[in-house]
Amino acid sequence: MEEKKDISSNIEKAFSSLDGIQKASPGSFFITRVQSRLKRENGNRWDAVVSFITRPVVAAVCITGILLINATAFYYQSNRQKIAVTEQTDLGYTDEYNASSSFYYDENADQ
Amino acid sequence: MNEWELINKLRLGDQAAFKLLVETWQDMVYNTALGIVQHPGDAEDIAQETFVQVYQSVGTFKGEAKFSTWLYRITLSKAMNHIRNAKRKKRFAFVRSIFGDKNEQVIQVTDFNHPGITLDNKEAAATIFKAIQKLPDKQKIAFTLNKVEGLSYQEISEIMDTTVSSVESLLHRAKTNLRIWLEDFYLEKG
Repeated sequence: MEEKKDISSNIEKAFSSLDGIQKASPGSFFITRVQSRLKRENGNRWDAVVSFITRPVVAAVCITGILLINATAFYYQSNRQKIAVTEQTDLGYTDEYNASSSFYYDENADQ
Repeated sequence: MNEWELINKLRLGDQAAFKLLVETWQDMVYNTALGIVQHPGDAEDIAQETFVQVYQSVGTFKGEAKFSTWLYRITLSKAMNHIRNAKRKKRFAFVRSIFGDKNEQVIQVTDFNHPGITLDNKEAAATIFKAIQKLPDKQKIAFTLNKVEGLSYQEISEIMDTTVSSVESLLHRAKTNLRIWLEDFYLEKG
């Protein structure tokens, strides 16, 4: 019972400790520090660009993008090569057996 | 110089107007930031950022709200972002500690002593500030603006863009939560 009373008096004390609180002020020459910060932020647009590019998230996205482009390019390239090889094989077969041309001339020999 | 004259001069990039702005509002901005982040260095950093943003974006101020309301909103948004970033860093430090990196410095929470508190109330105030940190964002903002910044419910409702009854409800819930936390704290302390 006594302990409960103590606790509730401590709680009330904690709440009332904020009554009449004075406003805190920043350190001296605050305006000077704000002005120098403003100058720094206005002057270094390139720094902002560089710091944006060098962010880990941006770098990771760029690398992933480059890898995806490479993978896509590689995929299309290998597909195209496959088609070219197939076409070449067909042509090689035709050439080897002189199939298409001989048939054509054979068929049109009388004309 | 009235508020609009000051704003118009700021829009033209007048340095004297900027100096006047900072000198007029620095205590309000710093005190609000300090109440939320509870760290003098961080509060000063937030106050600086706030004034830089005010200078850079004063052109977007339409005058729909009071200038002080706009200033409070920027300060609070920066202070809350600061807390979110600190929490993210803390979580990241925890993940790193799981993976065995034992060299990192984990942020230590220390008792915060507000400079505006009288000496005999320091300990009790440090306890309630510790409890305020545990409140949800909106309750924390409403309670800090009311108790630390001394604003009325009407002013808080304008800053938080809500109704007076919502502010009353937020403050009621904040006080209930603080009471629960403080009860546990004093019970553990014995």
